[in-house]
Amino acid sequence: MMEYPCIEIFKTPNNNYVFDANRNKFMFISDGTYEYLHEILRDKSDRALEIPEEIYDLKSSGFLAEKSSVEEVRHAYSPYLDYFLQRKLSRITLQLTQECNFRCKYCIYSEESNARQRNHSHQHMDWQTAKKAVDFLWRHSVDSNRINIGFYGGEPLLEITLIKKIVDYAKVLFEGKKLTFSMTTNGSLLTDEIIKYLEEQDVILMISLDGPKEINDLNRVFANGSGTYETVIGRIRNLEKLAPQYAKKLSISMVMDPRNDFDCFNSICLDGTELESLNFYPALVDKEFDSTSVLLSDEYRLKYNYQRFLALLSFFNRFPRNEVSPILNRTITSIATDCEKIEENTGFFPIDAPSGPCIPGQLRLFVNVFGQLFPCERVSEKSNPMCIGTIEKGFDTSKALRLLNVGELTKEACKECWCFRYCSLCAKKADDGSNKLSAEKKMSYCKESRVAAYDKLSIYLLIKEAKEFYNQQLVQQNGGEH
Amino acid sequence: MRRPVAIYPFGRNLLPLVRHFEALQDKYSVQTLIAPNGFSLFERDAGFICNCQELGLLVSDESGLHNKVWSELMLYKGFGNELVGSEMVVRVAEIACSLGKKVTYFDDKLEPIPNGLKKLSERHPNNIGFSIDGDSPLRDRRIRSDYASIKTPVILVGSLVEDGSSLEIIAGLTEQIRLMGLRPLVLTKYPIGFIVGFHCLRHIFLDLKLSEKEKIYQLNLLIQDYENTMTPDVILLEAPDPLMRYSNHEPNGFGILSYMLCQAIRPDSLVCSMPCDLVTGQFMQTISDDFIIRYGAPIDAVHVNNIIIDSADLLQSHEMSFVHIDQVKVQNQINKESNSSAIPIFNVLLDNAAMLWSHIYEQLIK
Repeated sequence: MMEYPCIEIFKTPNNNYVFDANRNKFMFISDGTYEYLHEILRDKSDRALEIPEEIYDLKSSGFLAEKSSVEEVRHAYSPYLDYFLQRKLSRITLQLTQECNFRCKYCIYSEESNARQRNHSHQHMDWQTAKKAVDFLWRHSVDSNRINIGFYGGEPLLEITLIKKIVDYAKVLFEGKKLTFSMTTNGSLLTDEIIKYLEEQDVILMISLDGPKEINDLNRVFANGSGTYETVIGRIRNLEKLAPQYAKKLSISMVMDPRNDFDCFNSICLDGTELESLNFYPALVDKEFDSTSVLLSDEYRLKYNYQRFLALLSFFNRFPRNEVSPILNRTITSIATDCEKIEENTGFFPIDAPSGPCIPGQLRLFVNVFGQLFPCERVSEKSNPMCIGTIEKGFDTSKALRLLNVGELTKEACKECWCFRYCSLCAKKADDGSNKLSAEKKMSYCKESRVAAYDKLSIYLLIKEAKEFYNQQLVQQNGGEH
Repeated sequence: MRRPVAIYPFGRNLLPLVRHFEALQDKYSVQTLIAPNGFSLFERDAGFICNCQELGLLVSDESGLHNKVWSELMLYKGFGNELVGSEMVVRVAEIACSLGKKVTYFDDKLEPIPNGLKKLSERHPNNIGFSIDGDSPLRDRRIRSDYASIKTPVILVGSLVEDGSSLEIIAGLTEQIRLMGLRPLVLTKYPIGFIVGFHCLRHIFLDLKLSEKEKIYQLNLLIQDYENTMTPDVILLEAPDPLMRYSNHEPNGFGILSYMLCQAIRPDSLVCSMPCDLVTGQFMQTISDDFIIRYGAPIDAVHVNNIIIDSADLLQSHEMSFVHIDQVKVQNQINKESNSSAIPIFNVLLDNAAMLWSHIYEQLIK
């Protein structure tokens, strides 16, 4: 029987496609060929099937190769990792404190969940550590023109005095480069004075709010267990009043627990108030450190898909944009923007690596209160493989290299996977809490990554087809013009 | 007796000028390099900025303004240091003036001279001078003669990305050409090298009153004028923009200005600087074939530049940025690709472009 590694089939309302990952190309295929490939790829049929003529044609044109072009799984930047870490850091996130006045139930630092991450504590970063971290960034950024310092917690605003000291110090140290500051906060401590200060320094502000009161307060609670919605929304309204221009740049981080109804999350984005105009950054609740699965309710899944459909219509100007979930509008727009990236992707190289990992530490180096270095703030601080150095001793390049080349763990499966270029799994997904990265753990997320990539590529195909199949409707909708 | 000078703000685009400063002119000697704090260069050797050989000159912060070993400050605005604002330039000039030092101001003609500096020059007329492109034969004149071919051999030096390496090649070649007793006419992208006898075509590209067609015409006439008045043995042209589109995320200038320049003056030889990881035989040949159509000349030689493009940054910010690797990695790439490449590969940093010039010279003689 013929082997078909590195391919996937897609069906849109108008066409059938086979995607050849070896060459990063989509080809039209007939219904018969689609059915044939479907039986082999999906049903894993082992009965003798007649091979369609089209398959031979594709093979003779260099497609549907019987083996992957990838001979060795290794990241292209492996030989250059040290240079990136020594010369091109551009962003650090400082964990100013492990303390928080909230006790969100899903929080990665929560005592109730995420056992493999650390818990809230009274530990905080002292000025000497903060200064050393900023100096560390200075020493390792000669090739970066843009510098960002992020303030993170716990709740970073508990350390506003330290923040001011860091800002003053960094502005002198980085004179001559584009320096920005950012902060992720629960928003509850945004006093008038702090708002004015953050506006003055143009700190990029992200406030966490999970939806309307009944949803937000299920998880986001004060240490005494009471809901936080009224306090936070009050602070946001005050920010909009005191600093209206600054407020327009405010982002809202919305962690969605999909056991709830999707429309509930959505309602806060479409509530007819100023909140509508804010930038929402949705994410699903993270259960990775808990080793449990994220469960989706039917209400969430069905309504999410319906809004996704409306967002697609809205993208083509066939449904009012302001009546569609901004969460899905953002998703669809982002995929449309990514269409070019999809087309610019290359086929496989003999030495290649699945997409997914960033250059660990270079993109968004996380420095915890003790001065330990991690690739980003999302990984476990208890994890030995994730700690890639300290501000005192510098980077442990060999550990960073292992994170960069996390694809090597699962190289045999990855080489033959159609999702190789669209994989979203970084080393965090291979961290099972032991002293080594786990191939098994990483493989457990493969399906999730492939589903997301499949969804993205399906929308890409639909967007590409629109002009061909729905040109007349698009012209009419736009008053005779595209 | 050379006049001791300091340079501010020292950044990567000025490195080639600093490296060849003493060899290319005999009036000045660089004593102090001053960089803004943010450049991460304080008390590091100047070569560190591009991760290349040490120059033996440590970079200072603004405390270097008080250094008594120099008497004149060369103040550069622009030239890739766009984040060094006018207020910083004026502040430094003020300190220098207050210490009784002379200041010569250079800019890349993208913005007018900062008001603060003009006011300062009114207060210190004997201390502050402005270096402008005053020696262009055709400056402020309109078309007065016909488009014609240039008889002097022309070498176009360009780069695939905006990284300053083409100036390094130009400066090295100039040194080698002068060593042979020949006279080069050097036309660079930015008006950065007047002080070492280079000229610039930027004022024509920036002239909003001219159509594209007229710009090509003016470029040709200006170079004709230079040819007639200076009678050079060879013309070195620095490509005014990166030679080709990099990707949809960063089109990288498309090479439009370089195309216009090559319509004005057809190169006899083309030297291309390429990022280290792009230097492979097949790729070089492919773009060389393209350049024959685009610029009228194939690639005669490649300089391997020690940069690696940060593709993650490119995807996120749509801006081209890169990291500088060391010369050992560059040499490894040259060793790996040299045998399989029909196009000769060089690293001008190793020998001041001596081998590159020797190769080009042979080609031109042929």
